[in-house]
Amino acid sequence: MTLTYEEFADVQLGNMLRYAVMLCGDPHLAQDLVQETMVRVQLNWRKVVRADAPERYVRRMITNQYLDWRRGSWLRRVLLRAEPDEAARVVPVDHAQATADRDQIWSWLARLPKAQRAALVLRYYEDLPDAEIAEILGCAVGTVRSSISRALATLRAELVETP
Amino acid sequence: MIEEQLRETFERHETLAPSSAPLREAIDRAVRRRRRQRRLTRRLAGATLAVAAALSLPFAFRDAVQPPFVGDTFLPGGAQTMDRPLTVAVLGVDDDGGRSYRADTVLLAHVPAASHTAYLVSLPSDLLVEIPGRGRARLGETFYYGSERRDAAPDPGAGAELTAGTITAATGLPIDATVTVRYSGLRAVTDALGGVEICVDQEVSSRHSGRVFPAGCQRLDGRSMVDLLRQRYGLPHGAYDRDANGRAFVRGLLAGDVNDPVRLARVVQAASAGIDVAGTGISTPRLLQVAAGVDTVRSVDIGSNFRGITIDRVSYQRLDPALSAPVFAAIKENRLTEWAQANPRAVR
Repeated sequence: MTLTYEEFADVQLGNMLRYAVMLCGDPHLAQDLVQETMVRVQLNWRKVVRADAPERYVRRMITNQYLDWRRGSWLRRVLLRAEPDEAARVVPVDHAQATADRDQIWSWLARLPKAQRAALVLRYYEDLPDAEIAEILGCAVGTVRSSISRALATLRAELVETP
Repeated sequence: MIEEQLRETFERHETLAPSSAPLREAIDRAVRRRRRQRRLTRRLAGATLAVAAALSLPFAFRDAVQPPFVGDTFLPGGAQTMDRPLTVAVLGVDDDGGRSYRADTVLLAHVPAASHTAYLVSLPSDLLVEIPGRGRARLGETFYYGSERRDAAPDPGAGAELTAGTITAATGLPIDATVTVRYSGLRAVTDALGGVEICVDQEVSSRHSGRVFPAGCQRLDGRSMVDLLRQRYGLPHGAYDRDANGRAFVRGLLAGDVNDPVRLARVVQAASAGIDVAGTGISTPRLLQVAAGVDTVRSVDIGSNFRGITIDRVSYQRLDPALSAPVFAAIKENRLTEWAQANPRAVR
């Protein structure tokens, strides 16, 4: 019995939304990111379900879309679609800076390069082994480790500077 | 320790995640919308070639136009009819730069014995067929299987032959000849018209020439037009957007004055470079004579609500025998003229 799109969405949609929130730092962007990806997932379901692990395949699609968003058309489409006053949301730093002190780390995350943030999310939120992270990011395991250590170094430096 | 703080931070922000139920509905709505667009796109892409093919038959061979490429095989005033029915398969083929061929459009043109009317019956390119000696396939793929050569350029003639044989196996109709219309003919047609104005919704930058075509209307020659129409990567919706540009081209083409006979003759001459005629049971001059005698083209509906079926994760379409079988039988028994009179609603 093959997995259907409905069964997949029942189980995974919430997970994918949480994952996207961790990547974007913003619920609205996360929603757009997941919607755009899941539309493609549903339209190409036969291909998705042929993957060894559909869940990992979809996570990779979301990640790629997120990594692409400044280069590609996705952000432009989001910007065009957004109400004028919503456009400010695209800069997640502002959104996060208003939050309490304990959310400082969250706001620092927003300043990291996107690939580094994705690597952190995959390791410390999704708890995936480095090999799987490398597969999702489409890079070598060594690259994953160096991104993570560079990201951690940045965060540590921020911690030291902030009293 | 920073690691622990990170884990905590992520967990704390889980509450930011929006609820999934409304999103799920939004996704389903967007999918329905895109499926509708996609169906429309496919139909229009097929229709594009069907138009090209349908135009090529009556216009290319009509004696009023005096098609130049027919040359001495065309007998002036020899607009004859055949004493037997004639069925021609018109294949609209995407030649993908000469590497491989797929028939996007498969159209049967049937001229009953002693008739001046050609009837067009269109077969879906996703039609489930049994290729003789090969097995299950989509009709459009048959051309590819037939033309593909290991380590050599594809042989379109063989593709057309296999497609004709497969159509016979699927419909019971003998195919007297095939007419293969290639996309590459579009370039020559564009030039023959002195360029075609195309209006695109968004900027297109060519991966092949590096040229950037701005959004909006522009008049392009054949070379630039083919460059623009080939682009798929870099467009937000890839192949969908490419099809949209293809439709924009057809709109531009039809907006031009194609009723001018001189211009039409030039177009026909240009298109002939992209049109191959191969006959199994009939010689080319004879085919052209019959075609020159055709003064009316009508299309026969064999059911547009093709029924889908999925086998091994490949989806196919099937004909509705209640609608298609009577048409095929009438063609085979050379009584399509009578059938069309009795069933005016199925004929346009």
